[in-house]
Amino acid sequence: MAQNTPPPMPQNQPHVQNQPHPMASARMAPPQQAFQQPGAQFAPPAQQAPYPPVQQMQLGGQVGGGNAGFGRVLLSEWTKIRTVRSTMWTLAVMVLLILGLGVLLAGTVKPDTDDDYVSIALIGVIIAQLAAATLGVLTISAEYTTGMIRTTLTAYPRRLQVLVAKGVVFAGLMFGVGVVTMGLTAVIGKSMLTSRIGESSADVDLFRSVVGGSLYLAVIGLFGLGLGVLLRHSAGAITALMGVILLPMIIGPFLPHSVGEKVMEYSPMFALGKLIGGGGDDSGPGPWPSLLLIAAYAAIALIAGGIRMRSRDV
Amino acid sequence: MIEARGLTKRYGNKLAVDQLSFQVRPGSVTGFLGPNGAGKSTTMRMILGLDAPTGGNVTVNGRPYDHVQAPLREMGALLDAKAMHGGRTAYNHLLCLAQSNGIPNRRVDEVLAMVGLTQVAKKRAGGFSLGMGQRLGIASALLGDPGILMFDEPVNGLDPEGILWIRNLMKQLASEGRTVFVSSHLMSEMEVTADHLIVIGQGRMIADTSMRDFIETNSQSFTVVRSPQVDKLNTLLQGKGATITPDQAVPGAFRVHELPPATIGDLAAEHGIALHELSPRFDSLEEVYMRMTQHSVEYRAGLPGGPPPGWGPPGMAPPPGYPQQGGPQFAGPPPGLPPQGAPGAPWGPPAGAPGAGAPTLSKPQSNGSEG
Repeated sequence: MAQNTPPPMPQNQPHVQNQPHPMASARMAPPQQAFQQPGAQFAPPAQQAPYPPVQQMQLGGQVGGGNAGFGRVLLSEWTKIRTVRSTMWTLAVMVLLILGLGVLLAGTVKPDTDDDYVSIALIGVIIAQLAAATLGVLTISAEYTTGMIRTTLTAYPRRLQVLVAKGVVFAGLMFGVGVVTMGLTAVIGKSMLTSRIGESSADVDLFRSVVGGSLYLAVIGLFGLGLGVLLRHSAGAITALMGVILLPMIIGPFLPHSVGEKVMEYSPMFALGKLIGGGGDDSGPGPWPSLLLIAAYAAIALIAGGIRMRSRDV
Repeated sequence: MIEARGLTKRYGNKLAVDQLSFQVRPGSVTGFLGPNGAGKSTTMRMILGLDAPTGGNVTVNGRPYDHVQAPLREMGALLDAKAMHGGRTAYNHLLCLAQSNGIPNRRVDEVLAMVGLTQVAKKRAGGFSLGMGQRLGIASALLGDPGILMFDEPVNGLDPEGILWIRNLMKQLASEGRTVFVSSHLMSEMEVTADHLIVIGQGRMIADTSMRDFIETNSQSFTVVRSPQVDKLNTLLQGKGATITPDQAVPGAFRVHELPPATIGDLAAEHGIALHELSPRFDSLEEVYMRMTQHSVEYRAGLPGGPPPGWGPPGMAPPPGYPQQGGPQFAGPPPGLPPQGAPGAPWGPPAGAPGAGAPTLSKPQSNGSEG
């Protein structure tokens, strides 16, 4: 006759329900003792913290407030973006590149007096845009790679609102940091060059350079955000975006002239050049239409990403 | 209250969740059981609106989750303790969640104190141990002081102290009248935690019943007997219609089926047979569950050393009365299990389910009205 139940298994013990093991309750009960174990906490790499006694927990509380709304998602996304190191590092790199390169150039180069001093001072933005683009991607892709997106959407299930809030917060941050840094750099650089070389005769449009340049940083970052939510993968989205920014200027010259010209004129880099000071060059679209074109690229990426975010399982 | 109606999820041509209908009610801990890959996590993700159902629907307090205005105030969920940005501190992680639901900042301090993480609130969550990460996840579930809590495998990987803590916490939450829905593949854990059980296998409902009814209805009872006059006793018992099998756990002991312990003792006394042991036994929840789900285990361990204990080795004869199934392929609900749904859990065995009306595991329908 075959065995009818699985072989030896501690079974049939009466289960003492609802009663913690005596050993365990001894460990859990006196809270003071549990909390005052010297050296138990902060032991790297895995920090430890004692379990509080459940029996004494007051689980309810004053949670006040009203419903969730878009203003609250904005606040939440602002908290998120300012509380991770990648944001601070990226912003620091951006500021250093713009200001540092601007001051370095203004102190060393010898331009003609008919050159636009502001565009020389702001040359660092061309490299700093890569940091802005990267941060745009990371703002959303890091949520997917860490799994945070599931927690985010559990707390606030309206996905498109989350994406829009991210975009608004990110663009605002980029624009704000851009205006301050580029404004400062433009003023410092221009005065340094003026004192070294002499008054410039070039038409200088400080508004177009500083505000337009800052808007460009926000827009190229939003392009990154769109690619990030579309591809959900940091490395892939960053690579794609670097390609879009850098490739046209590299391959453009090797293409047939008419095609290559268009490839370059409709590229992000061209738009940035026009904005920060390609005033004298009349080829291709002007600075503001160029900016609009890049904004359209970003919008296409964001809309495609939004559609994917809405329809796909997280 | 969580309510699923005909909930179905298909990935390609693989049916992960198949027509699940159930209700999770307030005031008790409802265990959600199934082998790995049974569809527990998928079901929970659909409850939260993270995955869209292929068919059917599920509501939280009567509304789809993504229509809930401030979700954290109605339902707190811990699906994956690692679903957070490791570079953010525990405090900031909770803060951004609280803000999205309009929950005041001081509540963040409150929940951090509740789970014992106050001292590490300013440390990055990436450096937390598994138990601390789990508690941070629980803190986020408690943020909105919700009436419904849902935990997916909350004790996985925790040390005994953490397991005990979570077990007590879930009971505490249920005793306050909250709805607690917790999944596990650990029987022993459910046995001491849950009041109500929803068991699924390969995405299908196997049972939706109170814990007590589940064991009573599906358990096989027998009596372990040891006696110096074993042959004489066995002859007598078999004369009374008992089935006798050797007990492999205790040398010299026998398992007597289909006779209550009192009858066995009386019979022995009548004939002057000494008994060294007479102990009634019931299957543990674990054994019941193993039997119920062994045909719906998706990924069997094909180890040469044999399957894990209790996981019914392929060559092993089925328990007496348990119907033999052709292959590992699950078709229809496991035989012999009555559709003992609690009220409001209308599920029926798919048409043509094999083995319908199989014996022993099905006892007359218990009232099933626990809740």
